[in-house]
Amino acid sequence: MRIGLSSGASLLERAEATTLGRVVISVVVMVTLLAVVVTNLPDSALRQSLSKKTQPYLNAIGLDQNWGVFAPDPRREVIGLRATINYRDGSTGTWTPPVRDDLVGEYSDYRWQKFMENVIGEGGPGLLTEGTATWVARERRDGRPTQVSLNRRFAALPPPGPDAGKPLTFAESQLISLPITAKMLKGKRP
Amino acid sequence: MKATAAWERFWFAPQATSTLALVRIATGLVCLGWALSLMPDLFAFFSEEGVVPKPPEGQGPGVWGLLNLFPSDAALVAVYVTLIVGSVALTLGLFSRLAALVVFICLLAFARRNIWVLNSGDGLVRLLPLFLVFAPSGAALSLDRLRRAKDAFWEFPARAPWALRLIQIQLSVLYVSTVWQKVRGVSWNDGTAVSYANRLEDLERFPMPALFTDNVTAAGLLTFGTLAVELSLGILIWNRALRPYVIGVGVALHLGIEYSIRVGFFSAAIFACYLAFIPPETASKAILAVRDRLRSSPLSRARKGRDPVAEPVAMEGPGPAAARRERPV
Repeated sequence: MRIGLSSGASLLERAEATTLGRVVISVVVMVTLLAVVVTNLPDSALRQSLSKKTQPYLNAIGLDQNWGVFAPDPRREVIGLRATINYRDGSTGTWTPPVRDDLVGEYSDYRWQKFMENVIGEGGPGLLTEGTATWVARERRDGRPTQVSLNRRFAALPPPGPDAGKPLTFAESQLISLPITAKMLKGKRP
Repeated sequence: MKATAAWERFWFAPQATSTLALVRIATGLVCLGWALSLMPDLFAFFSEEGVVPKPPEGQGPGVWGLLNLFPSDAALVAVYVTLIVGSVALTLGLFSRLAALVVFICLLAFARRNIWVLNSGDGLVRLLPLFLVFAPSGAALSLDRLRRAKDAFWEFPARAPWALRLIQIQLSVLYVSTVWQKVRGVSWNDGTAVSYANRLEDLERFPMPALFTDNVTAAGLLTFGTLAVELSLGILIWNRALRPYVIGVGVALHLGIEYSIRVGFFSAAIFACYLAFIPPETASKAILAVRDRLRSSPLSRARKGRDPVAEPVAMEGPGPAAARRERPV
């Protein structure tokens, strides 16, 4: 196959014009597709074995992927996250992940929703719960917070049918209660 | 020999770059939107003083990211501004390959710095510019084209489509993979999955009518229908005759998801991938039709009266007849 070249052809286009170039591109394409297929295989001994070789390649070129959207099952629980802030003067305040408008704000809010899922998934004190509690305290540093508690709210969804439309009953449990020190409130940005 | 010829034809037979130009513009716009939507929460998510003060450890072998290497706020602002500039350049087709590379590296930097704020849609947004690094996406309908061949701006030079093929295959793999993972669950088999997904208040965007969420029969139809549509998109999209219908129901499915669930840029990225399946001759005709419509608009006619020199240059393009001569793939 002969491919015509313009005078300003790129290196890649020059490679595409030669048999050797097309062979090299074909090999890269085959290796890449193999790695993509392997990472999308169902969890199995075969996948685990092949992934040891292919995953570092995908990670390095940024082609790692996971398309498990609502898979294997969507959650059956509505969740929420709430921080309670205790201030030095004895007053309290609350913080919840931002929910802006549904039309445009959604394109920012979905990240908070994803983050909330992961914070709640941590289940107790850990990197995300401590990070979030500290960040909330820093956001409210003007009021001199002394303690931040993170609580998860949850309500089980009934299956579709007559009970599906009934109001949900929420329960609440604590993920972390973090004493706030003056050092934690210090930051580089005002 | 036959297989080799088929391989060569599939990956390397030159085709008009009109489809690629549309994918590039859509990708640039999606990346620009992604970047702008990050502005209110940039420091909260990615700064050392944010909710995740340090980059996550143990992300696996080979993982790298600029913000993991340079975790300062100055680097964060630099990567963010570069992402916006790169996205604009990609949309306009200015130094297109370089712009795609820059956008990809910036998106990767964010993805590696905080893995807990991104969903599968963000992963797809990241992959699109990666594929465009290897595609001649600035060959048509771009400032690159304007710089190199001003008189032939409305032509769509033929190039090897192997990078565009990767986008097509990636979309196919995405759908087959998601169906595979879903059928291993319980609710996708008993027909309740879509009902549960649409009643997650924390994920709800606009409310769905109760008929679609609470009714057992409707829930089953929507659940199995979703699996059928996704499987069709993974396989039947390769059939040229069925493709328009398959993409049509895919658009309907994703508009439904876009309406009801907070999925960020997932649908937009999917639509950009769908563009990769538009036959080049169709894309060329559509682009030239838009050009002709814009030329005949009252605004354009008024401008023509003031600037009689501009028109002859633009008229040197090939027109719809030339588009029809381009080889269908």
